[in-house]
Amino acid sequence: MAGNSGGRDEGRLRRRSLLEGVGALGVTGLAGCIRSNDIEADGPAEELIQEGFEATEIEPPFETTIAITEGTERSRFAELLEVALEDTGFFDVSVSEYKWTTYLDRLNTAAANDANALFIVSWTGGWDPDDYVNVLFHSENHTPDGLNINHYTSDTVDDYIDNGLEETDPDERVDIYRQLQEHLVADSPVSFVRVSEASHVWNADAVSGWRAYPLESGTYNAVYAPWAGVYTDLDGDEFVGDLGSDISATDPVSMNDTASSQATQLVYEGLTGVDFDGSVRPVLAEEWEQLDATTYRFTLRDGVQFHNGEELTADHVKKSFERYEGTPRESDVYDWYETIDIVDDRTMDVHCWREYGPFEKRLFDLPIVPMAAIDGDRDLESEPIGTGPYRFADYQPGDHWRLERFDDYWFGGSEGVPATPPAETVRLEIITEAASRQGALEVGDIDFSSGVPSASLSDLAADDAYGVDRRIGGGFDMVIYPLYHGPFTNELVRRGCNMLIPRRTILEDVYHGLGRPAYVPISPLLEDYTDEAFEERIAEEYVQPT
Amino acid sequence: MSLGRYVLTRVLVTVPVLLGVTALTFSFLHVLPGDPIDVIVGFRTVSPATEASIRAEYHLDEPLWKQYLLWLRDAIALEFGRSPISGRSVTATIGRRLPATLALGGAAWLLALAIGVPAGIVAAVERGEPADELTRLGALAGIATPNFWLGLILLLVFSVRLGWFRVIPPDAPLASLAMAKFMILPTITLGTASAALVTRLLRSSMRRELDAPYVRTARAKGLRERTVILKHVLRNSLLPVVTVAGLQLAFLVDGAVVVEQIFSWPGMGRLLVRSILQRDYPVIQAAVLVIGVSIVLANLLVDIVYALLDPRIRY
Amino acid sequence: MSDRHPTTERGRIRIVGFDEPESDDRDGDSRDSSPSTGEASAETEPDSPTAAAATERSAEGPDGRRLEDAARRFRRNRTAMLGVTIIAVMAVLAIFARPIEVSTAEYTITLQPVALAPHDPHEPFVGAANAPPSWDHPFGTDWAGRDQFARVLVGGRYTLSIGLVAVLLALCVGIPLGAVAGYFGGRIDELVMRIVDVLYAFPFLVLAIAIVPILDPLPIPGRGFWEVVLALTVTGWIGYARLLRGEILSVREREYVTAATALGVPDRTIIRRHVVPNAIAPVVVQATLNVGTVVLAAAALGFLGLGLEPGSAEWGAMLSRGRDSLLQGHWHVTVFPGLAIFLFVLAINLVGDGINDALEPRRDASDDRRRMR
Repeated sequence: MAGNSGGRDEGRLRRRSLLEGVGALGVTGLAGCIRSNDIEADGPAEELIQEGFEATEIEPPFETTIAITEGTERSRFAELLEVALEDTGFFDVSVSEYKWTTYLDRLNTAAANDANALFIVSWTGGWDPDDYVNVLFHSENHTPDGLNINHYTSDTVDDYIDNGLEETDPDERVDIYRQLQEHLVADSPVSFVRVSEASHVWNADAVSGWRAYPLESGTYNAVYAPWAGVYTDLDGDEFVGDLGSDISATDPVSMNDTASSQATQLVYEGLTGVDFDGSVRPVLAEEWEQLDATTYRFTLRDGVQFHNGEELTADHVKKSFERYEGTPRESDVYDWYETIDIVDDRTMDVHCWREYGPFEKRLFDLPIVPMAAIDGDRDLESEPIGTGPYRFADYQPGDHWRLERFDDYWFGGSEGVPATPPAETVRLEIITEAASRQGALEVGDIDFSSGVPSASLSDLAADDAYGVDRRIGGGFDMVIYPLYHGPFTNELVRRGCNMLIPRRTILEDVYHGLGRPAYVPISPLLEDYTDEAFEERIAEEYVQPT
Repeated sequence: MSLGRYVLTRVLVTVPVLLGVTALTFSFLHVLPGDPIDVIVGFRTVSPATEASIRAEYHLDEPLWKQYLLWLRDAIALEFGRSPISGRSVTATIGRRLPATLALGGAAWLLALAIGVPAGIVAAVERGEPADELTRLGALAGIATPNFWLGLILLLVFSVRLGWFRVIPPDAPLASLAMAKFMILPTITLGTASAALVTRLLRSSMRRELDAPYVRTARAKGLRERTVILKHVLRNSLLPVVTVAGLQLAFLVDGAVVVEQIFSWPGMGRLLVRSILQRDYPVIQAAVLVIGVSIVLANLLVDIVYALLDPRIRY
Repeated sequence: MSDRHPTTERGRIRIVGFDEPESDDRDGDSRDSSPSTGEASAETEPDSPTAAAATERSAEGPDGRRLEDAARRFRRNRTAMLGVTIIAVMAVLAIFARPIEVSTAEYTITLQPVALAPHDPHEPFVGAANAPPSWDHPFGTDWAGRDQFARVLVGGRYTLSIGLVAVLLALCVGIPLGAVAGYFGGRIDELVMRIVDVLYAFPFLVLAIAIVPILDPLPIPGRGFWEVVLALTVTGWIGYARLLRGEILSVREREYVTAATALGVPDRTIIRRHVVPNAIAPVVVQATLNVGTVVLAAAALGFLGLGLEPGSAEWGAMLSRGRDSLLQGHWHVTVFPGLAIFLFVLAINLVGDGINDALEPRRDASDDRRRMR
């Protein structure tokens, strides 16, 4: 093997060398040296993979692609994964980057097209454990209807998910979801890699006492959320925050991206709210009681006005829910909703068609909208109207989104929270580049950002001119294996890969310590379902066998 | 040939080119894989009612040639419909973006002239001297610098580190002092390469003029060198420089796509990149069409102006 | 209709070389062709005597003394030789930076065993992440602790080959089309030039980013590289076609072409043997200069997120991926690949100017350059 001065593992393959060869076709034969590539399993992970390859009768190296959407962090993640997989000698990996919309298409059609690709995807869950598993792993949610991208099918998992959803006893639910998580890790249809973390940075001159809401969509709750007992001291008439992308929809029935939820957070309100610690609080509902397993009686808050002057009644609630029928977010309501019986203007009985564990939390994401919108007189896409403390002022796609204080807001003040929202106007600048978001914050163009590059967070935290608040969030990054293709049909291969993922390195070098390594789907934000001891046990048993 | 006939011929030649430009822009939607309706709604699931209304709006049930003619009719009336992504009028969006890019491009072009003309004069007069070589290297350096690199470094040094400029445009009308101040860095970034091109162009055109017999005559008459150069030579040499303005437009649009991205400038370049990312095809189509037609028309205009200024050139 | 010979350009301004005044006939040429002309004039057979007379480089043919003279002039041009040296050094460094191997399932064949760079450019954590330049890592390390020195050297392979391949492919399309259009004229000319005119209305980047969504869903192997090359080719050929056609219009009426036609030499042979070689000089100059333009364009595409596979050591990709690092104060991550691009494009321009001066001392390359993108 003379002449090989690469100094790298013998078994390692180099796909890139083909491309590099382009530059030097002329020297072919100059120093021809041929060596054979034998692959030997080294360590428990590679032994699992080898066993899986033998079981599926696939000759290594298996050629595959890591498909990602654009973004510095995502591509770095992919590069580290690529190196980890290639180092085993069993895989010959390339990375393909796609525009977000193309990427969505590919995700949606991956299983149907038998796409030979590993996908890196982030998932944002919520306050209920069901948010982390149902749409990703239930066999009824195969793409394109759901987001079960690799068409994972397991009756056991389906049963756990269904039972968990219909269980209303908290302890029972914890049990179900722990078993479900363990089962998922053992089967490894995907690998959970990192739990996300909300990192909010503000200019200390303009903002004080900001609290980071753990879920991205609720970022701007911190400005003024009297129902959660939270508000922020803002200096000046205008508060300027940022959004990482354009707002694609402002009608609740079609909103399903982060920027849209963030932008409308202060405009819309639902019956309930989930506060910064995960407790359900009344918002438009004053109080409620459970009449039987599937019926709840709600009393609405008195004197709530919409931005267009309408007064909130029970009829608004019923019609707002029923508006979801036939829309992209239909299942948010019809997963449980049967009907509403209106008792009087302020009282109503909500009937569910089944027992539903996450019921109270779901109401948070279902804004009540005015009749003008329900009847179709006003278009919520051009002018969102709700009952929130701020009303819509104007929106310039690509530039900014502006809200102004709503003077007839229902809240009358309390000990901890003043009656008037802190700033006259709230302007959210749309800045797509993470580096520009930081720059804009440092120069003072914006007062607050939720998207500063993770690498800069420690510097900013050490600087008195800025405030930083970080909280473990409700989402995770995962690697989705093509269950339907090649060696990945075998769970040993998937488990081997799961063990190989350099979670620590990814966390430190790609995300600069923002977040935590993930081993299970449900975020530690939901402490009952995923506590440290549970996570450690799963990690030791399945991911890092010693 | 009279000036009138020349202009007429020139306009007539432009017509098929414009038709080609519109046809190419139109066909864009149809060469993409998949049903145009899926392409328009960005492969999302839509209700049959929405689909029907989109089919009607884009005349998708008509034969292709008729679709093109209908589309062309709407385009001539500047009626591009609504963006299925943002639900806004495409015409209004472009109407808001176009001035921003024109302002930036105009400023960059002025800067290019402000740097390129003096540099070109020096290079031509000091022919072969160190000053000439220096200018030449400077111009090459301007051409060889990747403009996004330059933009990022300017942004880093003057906005982020020194804090002299904002990082994102101020919330102010386009014609305001705050905007004018913000435009300085993008203008420099965009104008550098153009300045280099102007320098090289003027240098060569002035050299030719300097050797012309009338210059020898003027010098012989004892006119001051300064007068000769500034009054006579420069005036004649500037003509070709100004006439490439139309061609430079394409060059500036390219630069704008990148520069607007760096400085979050609310112009056509950013609109284009954004609509590509969102697959907002009606917007892409309209933006590409506006850019293409502007360039064709600018070239036509420049040719006519050139013919007006220089009576020798007519057929 | 004036008695001037037909223009070399249509639908667009063209200002052919600002020549020295002593070549009066050429001067006339430049005046005529400055503005674009109407259809009518372009259709006219160029029967004016000036066209044939406008020959200072036709008589000797393409070979022989003229090329020798050109080579001598080129060698005497110090800045051009500097450019050649820079490019040669870069190419040598790129090829010998790391061993070149071709792998199949069973075997790895080493084609080039020399390794000038001490580290593998793809090997992460050979040093600390984002380390500034040091003795071990002269250009520092990137976010994954990869050696930047090795990456910049090896990156030359991508960048140089993109430049070369894209320009060659564009020439392969542009030269035949331009030659056919210029030589035969008439309908073919009409068609080709109309396509050129239409494509010219779209700025390069606009065209390229509009092409990408069309290419995106296609299964292209090595997608980044070929996507970029394809986009650059589609937008690149029009320049060569236009330039060559213009040149051929002024060449095709010369005595030797007329003579060949009279002798019954087939058109193909005439085009190949006599017309193209005599008209190709400006295209060669342009193509050389365009290698630089193409490299810059590829970098800009990379910046917009339309470039090569992430993590590749291509200079443009390194540059655009490193922009967050720039803000965080890791200047070395972007400065070195940026300098490499700068130096390469500068060198290409020096060489291009040099070739121009050598082949056609009376013509200034910048006249053509400003029309090219």
